[in-house]
Amino acid sequence: MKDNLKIADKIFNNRLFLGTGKFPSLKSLKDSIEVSEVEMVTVALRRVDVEKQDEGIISAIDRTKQVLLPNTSGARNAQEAVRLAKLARAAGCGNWIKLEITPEPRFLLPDPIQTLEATKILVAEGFIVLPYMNADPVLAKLLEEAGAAAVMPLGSPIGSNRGLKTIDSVKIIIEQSNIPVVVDAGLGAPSDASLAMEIGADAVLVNTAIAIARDPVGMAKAFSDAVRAGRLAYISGLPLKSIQANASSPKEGVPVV
Amino acid sequence: MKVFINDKEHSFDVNELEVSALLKELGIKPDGLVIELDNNVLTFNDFNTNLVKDGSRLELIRIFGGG
Amino acid sequence: MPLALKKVCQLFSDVFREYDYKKIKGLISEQKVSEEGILRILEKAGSLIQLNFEDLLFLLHPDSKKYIQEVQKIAHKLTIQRHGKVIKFYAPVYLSNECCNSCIYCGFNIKSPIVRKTLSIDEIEQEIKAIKELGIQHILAVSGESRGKIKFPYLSDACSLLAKKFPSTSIEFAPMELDEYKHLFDIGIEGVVSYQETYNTELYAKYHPAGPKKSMPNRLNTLDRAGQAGMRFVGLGALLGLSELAIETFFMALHARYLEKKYWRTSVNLSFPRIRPSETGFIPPYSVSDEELFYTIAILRLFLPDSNLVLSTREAPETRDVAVLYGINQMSAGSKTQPLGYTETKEELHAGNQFYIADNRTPEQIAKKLESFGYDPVFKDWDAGFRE
Repeated sequence: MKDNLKIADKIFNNRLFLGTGKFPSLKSLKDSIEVSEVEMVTVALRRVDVEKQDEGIISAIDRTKQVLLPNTSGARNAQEAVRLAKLARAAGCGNWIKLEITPEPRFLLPDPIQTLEATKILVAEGFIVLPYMNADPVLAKLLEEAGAAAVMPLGSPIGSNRGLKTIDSVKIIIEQSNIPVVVDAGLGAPSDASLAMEIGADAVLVNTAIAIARDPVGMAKAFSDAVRAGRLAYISGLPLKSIQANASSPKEGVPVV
Repeated sequence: MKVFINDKEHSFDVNELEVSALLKELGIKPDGLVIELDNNVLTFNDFNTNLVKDGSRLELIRIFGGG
Repeated sequence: MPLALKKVCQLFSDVFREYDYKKIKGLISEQKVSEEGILRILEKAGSLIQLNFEDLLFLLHPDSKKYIQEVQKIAHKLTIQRHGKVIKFYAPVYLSNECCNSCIYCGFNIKSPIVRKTLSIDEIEQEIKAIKELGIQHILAVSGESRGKIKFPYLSDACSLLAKKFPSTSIEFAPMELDEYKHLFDIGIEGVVSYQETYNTELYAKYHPAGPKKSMPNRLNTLDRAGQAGMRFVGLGALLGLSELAIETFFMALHARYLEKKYWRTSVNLSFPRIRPSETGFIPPYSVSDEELFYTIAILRLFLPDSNLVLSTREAPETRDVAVLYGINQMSAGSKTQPLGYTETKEELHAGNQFYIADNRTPEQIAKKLESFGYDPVFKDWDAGFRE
């Protein structure tokens, strides 16, 4: 049986999702998407700079191969997030939305209460909601109950590249969740992504670590491979860590020397 | 007429203008663009049928990179 | 076959539909049991890492039973880790033995010659007084099923009275509708117990040939409705002996884990009633030995460290005391299993072997025994008054 990931009505073969911010060029973004074969990319909505006439990044994305997941970054409360979600839908992004409500600009940590409220509103309006959240297991259940299609607990603050600092809480979320768990934010190296998959996450979202690497395209491939490896390790049954030694050679028949 | 685009004032020599024409004037491609005109969300199909008047407030929003 | 419960399902019957009884039986028999395998699972459970269904299948293979001592050690450790040495006492109060069902193993069965009785409110008051004298504070209100003779308003009034008088009251009635559970929750009921009896669809049909209980899906979803109504506790169980123990255990575990994940504010209780031969000539086809009972309790403890494992006075004193070491943390005490049983015991109301009480010790006696091997029997564990 294929080990695909199902979120809402879509099937994903690649459990790495890619954020599209901070890439040095449109070409590097396009190549990263192509080489890593990601099937879900996040995008943001921003005001057009009338003078610059920037065309945005939509041309780097192939809607037949990648699901577009607009985020509500910039929103500081539920009302703003709902507005952004509707704008995204109006912009032709489809009805999937990554709910990101970050009122505090230094750590960009998500507001749990506004996120829950916005989830309820957006689910009622027919959106497929993937809320970005701190790794709070109870909040994860509340969001699941509110109709979220998946939950996205953070590994460490956005852009910090500090890795899976929230690993213990994420493990609880994975154990208790009935919906997919996508670890998002702070994964700084492929080993972080692999670790998230090894503990049972359904997918990971990575942006900064790839976008600001010296060679984003190479890094995108590295992350994609790491995610695949971590997932395979998880479904193959990782052995437990042990303090003592557990001989891998047979105990009997040791030659006397 | 004076209109506000992304909170900045812009002047035009006409009394009213179709949104699509306004975009052409400013050299902004309509692909992937979403516009809020006086708090109404307009999609691509609405650009020809909506008029910008003196005092109109527009938000021009596009898809950019983000995490 | 997907063995991970990672989808948002509507109700337990939707999950149940995907697990074929024969297939599970096959999967269990395919397991290759080794000491290494057992130790790996025990280390996992002991490290508080949640066991998955693959682990459970392994433990359910007949060859795994011989590791009962090792399993007991970890089950005991886990029970103490999660529940301390607290053993919570409760007692059933039978409101009525009217029943319109035809369960072939049960003395309440519509054809049974027992004298039928439904307690009046005054009689319930008498029972309450008697139960209070025993010191019991957690109550399980029980009744047979009869929409005609035991109407909802009566049950609601009875529950209201019991909930006022006891800090915690649960119910074991016939499956009810969501709004009925919501109403009972609002008037103070904390928990709903509903045994599936057997998770084997074919045998279920055979054992429950007539009456509302004939509908298996409705019964399967009873605890979903209780969870949706906000109940603090839901209790499940199979009548051990009605079908093959290992497969029944799998389904109990499946049901419990499903409820745990879906109704995450609700605690899940598992009971282990062993069916007895009945006066009607029913002989349990899959008799369960003491050792099998202990082993089943222990592996379910490993699989569900946070659940409450319950053993009633159906079992003999020695069995119950030992069972505590395998993971039991809730026991009924001083039980009477007939209407007005605490006030007076009438022979004609005795409904046969399924209601037989093997442990006739008083709650004090049981408490003393438990204390003697280091346990902490508790009469009052919670007060519904906190909910106001």
